[in-house]
This record gives sequence, structure tokens and C-alpha cells, in this order.
Amino acid sequence: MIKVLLYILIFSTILNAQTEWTKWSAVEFNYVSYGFDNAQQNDYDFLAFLANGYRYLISDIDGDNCPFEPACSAFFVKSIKSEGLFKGFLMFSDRFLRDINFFKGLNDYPVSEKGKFYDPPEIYSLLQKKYQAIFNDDK
Amino acid sequence: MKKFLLILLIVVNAISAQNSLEFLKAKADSLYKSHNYFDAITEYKRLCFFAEMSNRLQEYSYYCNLMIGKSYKGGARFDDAVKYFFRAALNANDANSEFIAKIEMVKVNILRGTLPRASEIIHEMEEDARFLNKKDSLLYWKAWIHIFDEDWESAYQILKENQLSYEMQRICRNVIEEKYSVTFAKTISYIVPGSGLIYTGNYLQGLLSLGYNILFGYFTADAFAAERIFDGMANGSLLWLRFYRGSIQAAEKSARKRNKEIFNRALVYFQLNYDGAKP
Amino acid sequence: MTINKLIVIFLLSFLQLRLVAQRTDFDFYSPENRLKFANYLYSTNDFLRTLDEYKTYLKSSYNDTALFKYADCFFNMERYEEAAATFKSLFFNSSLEDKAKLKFYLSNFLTGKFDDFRKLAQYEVYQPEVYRDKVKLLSAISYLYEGRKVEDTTAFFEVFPDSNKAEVKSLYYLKLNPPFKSELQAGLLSAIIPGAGKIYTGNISDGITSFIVTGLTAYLSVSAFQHNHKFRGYLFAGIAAAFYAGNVYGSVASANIYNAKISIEIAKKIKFYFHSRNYYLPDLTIK
Repeated sequence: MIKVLLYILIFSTILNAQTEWTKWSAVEFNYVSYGFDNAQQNDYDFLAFLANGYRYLISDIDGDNCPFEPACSAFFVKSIKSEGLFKGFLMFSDRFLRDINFFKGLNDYPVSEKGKFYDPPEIYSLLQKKYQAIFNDDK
Repeated sequence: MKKFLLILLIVVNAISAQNSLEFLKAKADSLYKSHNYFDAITEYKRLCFFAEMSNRLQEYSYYCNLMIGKSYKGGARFDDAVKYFFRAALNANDANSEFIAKIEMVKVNILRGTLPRASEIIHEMEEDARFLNKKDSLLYWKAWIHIFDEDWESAYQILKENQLSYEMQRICRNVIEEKYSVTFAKTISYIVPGSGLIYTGNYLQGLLSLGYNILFGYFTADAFAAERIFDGMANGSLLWLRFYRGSIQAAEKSARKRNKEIFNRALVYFQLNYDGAKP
Repeated sequence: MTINKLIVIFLLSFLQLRLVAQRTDFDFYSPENRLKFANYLYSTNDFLRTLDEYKTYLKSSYNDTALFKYADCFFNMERYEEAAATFKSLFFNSSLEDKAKLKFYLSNFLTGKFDDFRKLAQYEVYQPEVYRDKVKLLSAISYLYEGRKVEDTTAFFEVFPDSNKAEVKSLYYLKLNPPFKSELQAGLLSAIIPGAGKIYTGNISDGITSFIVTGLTAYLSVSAFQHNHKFRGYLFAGIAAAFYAGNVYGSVASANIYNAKISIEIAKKIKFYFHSRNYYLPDLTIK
């Protein structure tokens, strides 16, 4: 009986929860879902050229090898773009070492929607401001 | 004469008091029609509230909840929409209205991608004796669920067996004819690496994959032939196997990607050009 | 004559109908009806729409309960600055004065601007007589939130209820001296023995892997040089150097991440502790 009452209570609070925080307007929704976001870099610079070349010539056809998200090559490009060549390279070397570690597991990284270890480069920037939101969100 | 005028006045006023809720309803409807969904919801809620005040909730609660659900749907707020369609279904006065509300629930579940829930609702309705005469409609929506689940064969099967919407049948048939077989792409990649990629139209990458496999296969065999066992093992496991396995995975991924493009084209066609009932 | 009368009646009734069609007998948008509807929306927790209704209502009429609820909508939608401003307008000539004042303080507290909040807590005029100790409590909690050191700790802990004193004390000292790991130490450890810094920060398997991989590549480089394979030697030396440097950097980063996680955890713990106790405030909702 108590369970039923509790159920009704929870149900009614869910039904009555505030979901609108600002006024919204009509939205054209789409039947199409885009499941395949390929890692193509859309910038026109040397790094993007290298990354796209690597993706087309090797990464696309050597299988799904990186357990991380973003994958190591994307991590490399991102970290160099945001932190500069030197720091970015150090961050990538560290990532590579962590990739080699066979014993990494669920305790070390949160799991993303795609079932990969979520490990964005911002976390390794040494600037807590850049990544605090990530830890605040997933708990 | 005076008496007559008085009676007339009272009668007319009584009619207009009844009409005032209708006036509110018309206002809400016009807001809904002009896609001003947020304000439309406010007015429908107001209508609901004042209907309750004048003890006429029975007449309006179904309609209000249904329209609030539709307004939320218009703003792509599917979670809220489902809640209100559910309320509408609870407040329905007859089986037909309940059916409409439940079908709306199915549609919104399709749109927000919770297809198992949509199938569940359809299944519950199929069991329900009140909806026995609406079997065709239920099957039609089942086909829609299959389409969004990317199972075009099942959708086509259902439509064909029950002779529903010929246009939908035609589109499904086109998709089935056009789409690539993922299993076939994988199988031929097992036999000749890279062929799956060529099958899906990625000629250059297919040839590259084949080239890598021949090259690293040669390296491995060469190392073993020269009795450099460590080199052979390293080459075999780190390079050759990697690209062999990779060619199969790439073929699968490529076939799925092409299929997705084909499905999306069909869905866009449905959204823009199909006139029948759709989510 | 009778025909004329009939025509007149007909015209009159027609006119009456026209008039009715123009206006509705029941004005849904009259202030009192708006208020009723707003109260209903408020009770269903649809605060965004409630705001609009109260706002229109308050333009034409004054009602302190409605104004309080209007402010409360901002509060419930976590728009604390607007909530504080609205609660402030209830400070004088209102039966809800005390509650409004306390909620004003709570709103200011929840904006997270603790310096401003503590300044406000000094103004005694704003503070309700009955709730003065509650404001003091809130300002004590603000010190805990920020991890600020207090001069007189005995007086500081005195404001908290006796049953919670020990826990609050431990939270205060935890926030002041969190169990951080030193970034410098992690970096130095990894510089001496590759991977040691990662073991120090708790990433044991990462540390061991770094040690083995860096060692192996260094060994391969030395061995290549010994066998006169210069290219291989330089290649592996380069890789080993990159791994070594990357690992030192990674150890510093992992200490940094460890500390970030700890401080977030402590902040959450403190926040949860006081939030779950409703900041020791009485029930401030009104019917």
C-alpha cells in the first residue's frame, strides 16, 4: 500500500516538475538522424591537412583501435590547437602511454555514449577552470 | 412586451455564458494555428482551469490535454508532449478519443527515438478489445516504427500484406532495392581485404586496404621465411592483423554509412512529400 | 402596430446578440480571474507561466501574497537575483515582511556572491527580528562554502545547532586543508623514476605501464646503438624521450586532476549537507 502511495507521489511530482526555463518557440524537427559524425577536420590548415590525410589513408581502414573518445589522433589535433605545439605534444605522449596500459578500466574514466572512455584534452591542460564543468556534470 | 424582452435577455445571456469557454477555446486554437505554441499552452491551461471552476471539466480536459501535447510537440519538446497525451488518454470520454491520444503518444515516441515504448503502446492497444476495428491503423503505425528502426523489410512486409498505403510501399521497396548488404560487405572482406569497401563505392580506400594487406602480409611471411621470428610476430600482429581486421570493420562501417544516407533520403522524402498520416 | 412592435423586438434582440458576440460575459482576464488562474498555475509548479500571470495582475492591483508568490517563482526557477529584488519590495507594510526578508537573504546567499551577501548581513535594518540568528547562520555557512579561515572559531561554531557541531567542524577543517597531492612532488617523482608520480597520485597501472614502456624504448635505443644501428637508435631514443617527458607532464596533470576532483567532491559534500537541512531555515512557503 505504501509502495503504491509512494509510486503515485513520485509519479505526480514527475508530472508536475518544471521543465520550461525560458519561453520557447516553434521548432522544425527533423525525421533524419545523423548517426555518423566522422572525425573530419573542417579547418584549412596544415594540421587539419595532416589529420585528414592520416584519417583517409590509415585510420579509416585499420579498424577501430582506440578505446578513447576523442580518439588519439583527434586528441593530438585538439590538444595542439588549444595548448600549443610543445604542451600539446606532451599531452599526446601522456595519452599514448595511457593508451598502452592494458589495465585501464571503468574506475579510471567515465564511459561516453558510444561506449568509449571519455577523456577530452581539456582535463590535461593543468587549468582547472577549463575542465571543472566536466567533473561537475557527470556526477 | 416587457416580459418578452426580459426572457429574451436572460436566454441570450445564458447562451453567451456557455459560449464564453468556447471563446477561450477559439483563442487558444488560433494561437496554436499561428504556431505560437508557448502561449497556446497557457490559454489551454486557462481553459482547463475555468472549465473546472464551472464544473465542466469533463467536456474540456481531454481536448485541452491533447492540444497542450500537440503544442509541446510543435516545439519539439517531446517529453512534455508525451506526458500530456497520456493525460488526454486518461481523460478521454470514448474509445475513439482515447485511440487518437494514444496514437499521438506513439508518434511522439517515434520522433524522440524511444521506439520500444512506441511498440509497447501499439501492443497494448492490439490487446485491447475496444480497438479491434482499428487494426489497420495500428499496423500502419507499426510499419512506421519499423521504418524509424531502420528495418525497412518488416515495414514493407506489413504494408504489403495488409494492402496499406501504396506510396509508402513504393518508397520502402526502393530503399530495400537500393541499400547495401552489411553481411555481404563483411563476408567478401574476409576473403579479399578491401573488396567490401569497393562494393560500397570507396574504390581508393578499398585498393589501399588491399595494398596494405599484401604489403604487410609479405613482410610477415618474409620475416618468418628468414627465421626472424620476433620480427615476423610483431609484423603479423601489429600490422597485418590490424589491417586485415580493419578492412572488415571499415567495410561494415562504410556499408552502414551508405545505408544511413539512403534511409535519410527516404525519410526526407517522407517528411516533405508524403501526404498520408505521419509522425 | 403589432407588426411594428415585432420588428422592434426583432431588431432589439438582434442588437443584443451582436453585443454579446462582441464581448464575453465572463472576463477571463479580469484581475481577480487572473489571480485565481495564477494561483492554480503556481500550485502545479508551472512557474514560467505563473510569472507572466502575476506580472500582469500586479500591474493593476496590489496583493502582498501574490507579490510574494511572484518572487517565489523567480526563486524556484533559480533566478535568484530577480527573486532578491522582488522580495525586497515586500519589506515594508506587509504581513509577509519577515518571511520576505529571510527569503531575500536566502536568495542573495544562493546567488553565490558571498562577499555581497556578507555585506548585506551587516545591515540590521533589513533583518527580521525573529530570524536574526538565521541570517547569522547563513553567513557562517558562506564561510564554509568558500573555505575561508575564521579568526574566532569558537564563536563561529557556536551558531550551529549542538547536534551538528562536530560534523560542521570536520567539514570546516576538510575544506581548509583538503587532502591534496602535490603537483611538484608528482612531477619530481616521475622525473626520478618514470611512472612513480602516477603511482603516487593513485593511477597505479598507468604508472607501471609508463615505467615498463619508457624503460623498454630506452633499452631498445641503447641496444641499437651498441649494434651500430644508428637510425633505430635515434628513433627509439626520441620515442623514449617523448614518453619520459610526457609521463612527467602526465604525472603533474594527474595530481592536478586528483586535486580538482577532491575539491569538487568536498564542495558538493558541504553543499549537500546544508541544502538537505534546508540551511536550518523554517518552512517559508505560503498557501
